[in-house]
Amino acid sequence: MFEARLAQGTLLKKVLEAIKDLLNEATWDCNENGMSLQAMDSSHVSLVSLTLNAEGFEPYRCDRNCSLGINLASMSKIFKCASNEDSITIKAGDEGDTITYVFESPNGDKVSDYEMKLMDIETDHLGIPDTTYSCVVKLPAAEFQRICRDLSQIGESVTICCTKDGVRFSASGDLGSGNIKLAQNANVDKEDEAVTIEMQEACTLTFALRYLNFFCKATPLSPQVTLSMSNEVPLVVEYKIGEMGHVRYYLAPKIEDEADS
Amino acid sequence: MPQNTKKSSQEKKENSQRICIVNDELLKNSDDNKPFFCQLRHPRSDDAALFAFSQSDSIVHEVLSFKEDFRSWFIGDFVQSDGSLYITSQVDPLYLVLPYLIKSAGRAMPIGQILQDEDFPETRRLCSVTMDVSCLADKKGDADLKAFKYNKDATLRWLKLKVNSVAEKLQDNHCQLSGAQVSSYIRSSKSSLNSEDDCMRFAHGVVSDYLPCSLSSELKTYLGIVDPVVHEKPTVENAPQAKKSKTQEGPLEDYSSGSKGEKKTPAQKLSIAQKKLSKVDKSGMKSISSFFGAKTAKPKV
Repeated sequence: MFEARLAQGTLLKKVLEAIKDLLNEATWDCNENGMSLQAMDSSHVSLVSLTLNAEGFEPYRCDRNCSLGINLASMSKIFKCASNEDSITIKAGDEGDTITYVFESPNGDKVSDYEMKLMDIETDHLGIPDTTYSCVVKLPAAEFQRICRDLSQIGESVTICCTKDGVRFSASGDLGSGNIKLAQNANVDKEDEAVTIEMQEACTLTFALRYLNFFCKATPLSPQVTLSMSNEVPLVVEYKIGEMGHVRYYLAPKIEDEADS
Repeated sequence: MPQNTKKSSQEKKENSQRICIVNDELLKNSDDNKPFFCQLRHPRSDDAALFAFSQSDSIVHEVLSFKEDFRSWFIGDFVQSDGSLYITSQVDPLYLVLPYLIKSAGRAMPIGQILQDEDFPETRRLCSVTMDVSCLADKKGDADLKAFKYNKDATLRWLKLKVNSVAEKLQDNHCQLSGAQVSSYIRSSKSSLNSEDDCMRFAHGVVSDYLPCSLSSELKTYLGIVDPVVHEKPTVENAPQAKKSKTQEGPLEDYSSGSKGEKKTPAQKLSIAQKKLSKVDKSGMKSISSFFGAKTAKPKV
């Protein structure tokens, strides 16, 4: 028996919006510590890793570890039926091959439940090592979304160059080139608007913008986004999900091969 | 399996005689050659099933019936319209005790108390059957008290031994496990050998016939048995030679090159968003799995 209720159902709705475009289907792994999900996009160049801690749910009950294979597009369609104020309960039996979502309005007047078929998905979990990244940039999520959107007008890929002074995003294409530079500014009154850079070593990396634009669908989840980078390893884009977890996107960098040039 | 068997008619009541093949062992030490038949709870189904005890209750056999339509027996001068054949076969009493132990899990109780069942009062006979309950449970308290507490780990260990020995037997006897087969069909010796996995899976099935469902599935994970993929396509090197060798050269005239449609049918439905993604220029981008080792324990995130 698995049961998890989230009073703030809107969080789950946003989580779904954040991943459903990138992933068609995924396996939710549920254990006593919470729910998690790890999956690659269809081209296998990016990876989504999502964690929702049990503490965020009230109540949370997971008698035995289970893996729920879910079509995320369908799940998202069902979650669109929930109002933002509703609480969301996810239920799954031990034996059954279905999952049930229950949406309750705040005053309990309206209760709707939806049942959905589970699917068998073969997945390999990737082991993600605990890496110390040479640059960790925190910036307002909305700002990052804006940058990705603007630069995707210019070119297909963005080069992120992180130095002591700040971080520079640049793109170039047929119509020309564009650069956006953000300086570190920690001393604003509002914490959410701060840009902070922790750096061991300068690094320059190039990424496909379209993927970053997809990652930005998680912007409503969190006011701040964290970009972690090291040369020649995947970029990590992390959004906190309230107090209860995070969603992390990993994206392979574009590495210019000598054979290519 | 009963080796020395003899036919005897059992349960002589008015007009009700049965044909039963009984193992000699069951008849030993009994004056009137009568084993005791009674109903016990079957560990798998929880329903009543017929079992036979030897006179001193030292061994217990299960009673299996084989029944075909349109069959009757002549017994002496009578016709017995029930044509089923009963066969006894020894069963490990621990299987019968196991459901009761599971029910009492968490408490240490004397074995006599554990084996009490209102619906099947004869269950207490199991107390006197020779067996070693400590395979399934921890002995608690005084030795005379015979108090036991269910131990799942020990049980799974014991069941593993059982499955292993069944699998070994299957392997040694070259039992055909892969379903139906035409008797005149000659298989190459290679394919008739059962893989170890097949034997384990089959043996697990055999043992599961005597286990509660939940324990059966737990045992499956404990043994690491994976369900086989049904209708596995033969791999290229093992597949029999294709009959039409022509196909290997391809058709002489290729009409498909003219039409541009249906070049690629994606394996799965892609949303509009994902179609956009698949158009992204991925030159110079390595697969994410080349960065993160595949299949290590849980990711540390």
